[in-house]
Amino acid sequence: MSLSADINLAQRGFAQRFVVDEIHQGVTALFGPSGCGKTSVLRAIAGLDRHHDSRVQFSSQWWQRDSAFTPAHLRRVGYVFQEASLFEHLTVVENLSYASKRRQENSSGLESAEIIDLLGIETLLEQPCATLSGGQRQRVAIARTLCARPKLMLMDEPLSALDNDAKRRIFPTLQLVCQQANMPILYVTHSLDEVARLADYLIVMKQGAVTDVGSANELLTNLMSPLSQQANAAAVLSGVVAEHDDAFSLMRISTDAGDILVHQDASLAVGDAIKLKLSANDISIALNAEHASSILNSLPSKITDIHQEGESQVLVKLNANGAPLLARITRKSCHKLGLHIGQTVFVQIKSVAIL
Amino acid sequence: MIAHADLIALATTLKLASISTLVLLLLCTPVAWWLANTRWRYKHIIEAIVALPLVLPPTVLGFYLLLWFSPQSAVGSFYQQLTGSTLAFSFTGLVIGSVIYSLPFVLQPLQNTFSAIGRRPLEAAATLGASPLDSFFSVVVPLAKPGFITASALGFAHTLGEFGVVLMIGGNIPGETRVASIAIYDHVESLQYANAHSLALVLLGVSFLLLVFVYANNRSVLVSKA
Amino acid sequence: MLFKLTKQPRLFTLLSAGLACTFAFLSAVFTDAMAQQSEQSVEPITVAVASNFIRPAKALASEFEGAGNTSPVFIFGSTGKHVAQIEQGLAVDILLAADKARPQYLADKGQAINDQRHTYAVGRLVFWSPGRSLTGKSLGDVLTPENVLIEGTSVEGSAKKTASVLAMANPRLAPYGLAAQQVLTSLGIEQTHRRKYVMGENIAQTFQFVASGNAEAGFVAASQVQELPADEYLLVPQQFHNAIEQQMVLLTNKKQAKAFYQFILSPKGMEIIRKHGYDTR
Repeated sequence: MSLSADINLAQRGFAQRFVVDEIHQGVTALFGPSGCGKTSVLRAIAGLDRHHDSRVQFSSQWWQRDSAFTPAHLRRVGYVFQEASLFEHLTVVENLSYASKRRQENSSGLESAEIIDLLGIETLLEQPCATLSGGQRQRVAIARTLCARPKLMLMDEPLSALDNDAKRRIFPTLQLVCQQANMPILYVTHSLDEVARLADYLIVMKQGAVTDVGSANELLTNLMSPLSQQANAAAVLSGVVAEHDDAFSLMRISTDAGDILVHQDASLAVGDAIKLKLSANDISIALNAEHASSILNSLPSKITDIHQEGESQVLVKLNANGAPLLARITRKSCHKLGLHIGQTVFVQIKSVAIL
Repeated sequence: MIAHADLIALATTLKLASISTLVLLLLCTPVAWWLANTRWRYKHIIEAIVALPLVLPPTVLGFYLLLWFSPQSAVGSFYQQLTGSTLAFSFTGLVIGSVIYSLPFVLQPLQNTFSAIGRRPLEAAATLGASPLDSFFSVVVPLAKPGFITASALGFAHTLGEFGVVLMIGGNIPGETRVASIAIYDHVESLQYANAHSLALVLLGVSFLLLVFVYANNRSVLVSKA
Repeated sequence: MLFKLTKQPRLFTLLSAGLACTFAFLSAVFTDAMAQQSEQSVEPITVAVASNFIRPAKALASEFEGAGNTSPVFIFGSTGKHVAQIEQGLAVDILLAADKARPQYLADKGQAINDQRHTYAVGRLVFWSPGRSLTGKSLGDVLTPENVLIEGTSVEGSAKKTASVLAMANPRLAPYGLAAQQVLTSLGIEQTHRRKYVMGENIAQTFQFVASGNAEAGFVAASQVQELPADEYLLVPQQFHNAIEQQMVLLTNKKQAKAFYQFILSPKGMEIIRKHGYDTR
């Protein structure tokens, strides 16, 4: 199952084409500033809009090519809109069964009960949609989309209409959905935080065209990419919980870059896969492993790139056993330590966020 | 209190209003949906045409219908070839007249309702696998229910009060084209005011109840949206 | 300050001169208009006229005016409406009715001055069927208890699918309708239900039904068919129905009202009325 698209957004006033090849299973974030055509791309893939001179292919099927155009209801694409877009005349459970009644025969995927459980909406089932909060509405919308058992899921900034509190509460659910949904997910966002937490792959868009494609972490730490120049630039490491240290309330996470100690989270068991976010601002560089420091995590790394940021700062890209990391330090420190590309140093990680 | 002939006129009126409303709903639903959703550059011309019955005096409308129904005109002769009878002075003719006369009263509430619903619920339904027809009946129609109720009640009430058009094309045939408003007019013209009053009262009462229903319905729509 | 004092009076003089000029001009215009109006109609009169009598009424008025009299203001409409409005206080000097019952009704209520009520015209009914020649036919040939016969074949027979529609005015409202009904009764064909009778609310509407082709034939007023080919209609002999007497009543004491009333009854007036297809007494 893979998606390829070549969409001419001239109707939206963009001179360049949006071209992507082979979007596979996993979460692919479509990232870019507001108005760069992200939603237009999503709607074209779903078949909600038709752009001339465009092609959309899913696995072996052509959804759009030349004059052929498969209408939206035959594409079996799940679409989660910015606003939940529930059917207001139906209750929550009726919204779900609207979708499950129309799913394809011999379709495979999660059962309705599993979906309700996954989204945590058991208690809402009999309620009319008008009584739901914003976060609840979006949970129901995602559940409804899953109930239709789509082959591909498109999410158009599903969290953007929610307040921070609702966002924080729905996030773990969204991560679970992304892990369990056995299909390609295209996730539109303009939030780096959401990219870091959810995305496996990343497509960066500007003015209707693709500027970068690649693995999320690769792009996030690429010094030439505009992503790394943002104030909240960060690297993301995938890891597995290796050990709980109950005495100090810490956990040892085994990552590609090496073992990292983090605060204990009782809800995680040994063997659970997690993601860690290492913010560039929270990493400093030492020339040798200093044992007499309050900092617990120190990893040997090799400098692969140095990029000056403004007058006083530099952003250093490092390679820790194959995993890319970013460190933001002062130009003075860089000069004092004599840092240069190819040098082996130790990164000192002040804090780590579990995503 | 009400003469037998007047009861028949009332029954004819109710029959006319019911059938016209039904025809109008069938006719206006697709047109209103199209008007609410099209991005066609000249749609305002169509909107102006369907609003014309609002400004055209009913007797003028009736006069043109009379010319149009005539066996000497293309439409009239075609109908006569087809059915063997004329459209003027027939119940069918009155239904056609009423449909034209009450068209904006049904079309506009429906168009407003459809516009308010927008395309989003349909798009959501499409991505869940519902065909356009399926989603129209399973999503749009239930969401537009208050709009359908308002449109029906307005179309019905407006047809109840229809006079000018019927005067011109009806021919005052008892049980077929003699409707209540014409009967009231006859009573007034022949100075039988008492009969006119009682019949007018019935017509007024029915229309009033219908309008109360419309406004109550609109209120509940507002309340549920709030 | 000195400058202002010398300047202000001059401005004021200019302004008041302008105002005076404007006032003089306006008052001249008004006086002129008022003089013209009083000259034109010392005594304006209002006449309510039955719809069927519009054209003869206008002809009568222009003749009356030509003799140096006032120009009557007409209100055209159905007599029923006129009577109702007069009873509610509409100021009308003369009512030219479509029948004699309603003038009688007003006279009984004491509204007629000196009980002045006269038949000014007698309407003649015609059987009209446009586009067919009725030459040499009598009414009895055309209307039988079984059929409406035109050109030797029944209307039902002439085109198999054609339903015969006969138009007449509503007998309850229009004297011409009542007369038409009496004709049908006299010919013994009133009870035939195979035909469709359609009723206009007044004789003008009945004419419209036939003229537009929606009704194939109908009973209309002789005054309406005057300019049409003579073979398209048959004058209905008066023995078939009660005379369609149209009466008028004088409702005020105005000099000009009396003069117009008298003019209508004068030989000159009667001649104009006959020219428009009515009989007179």
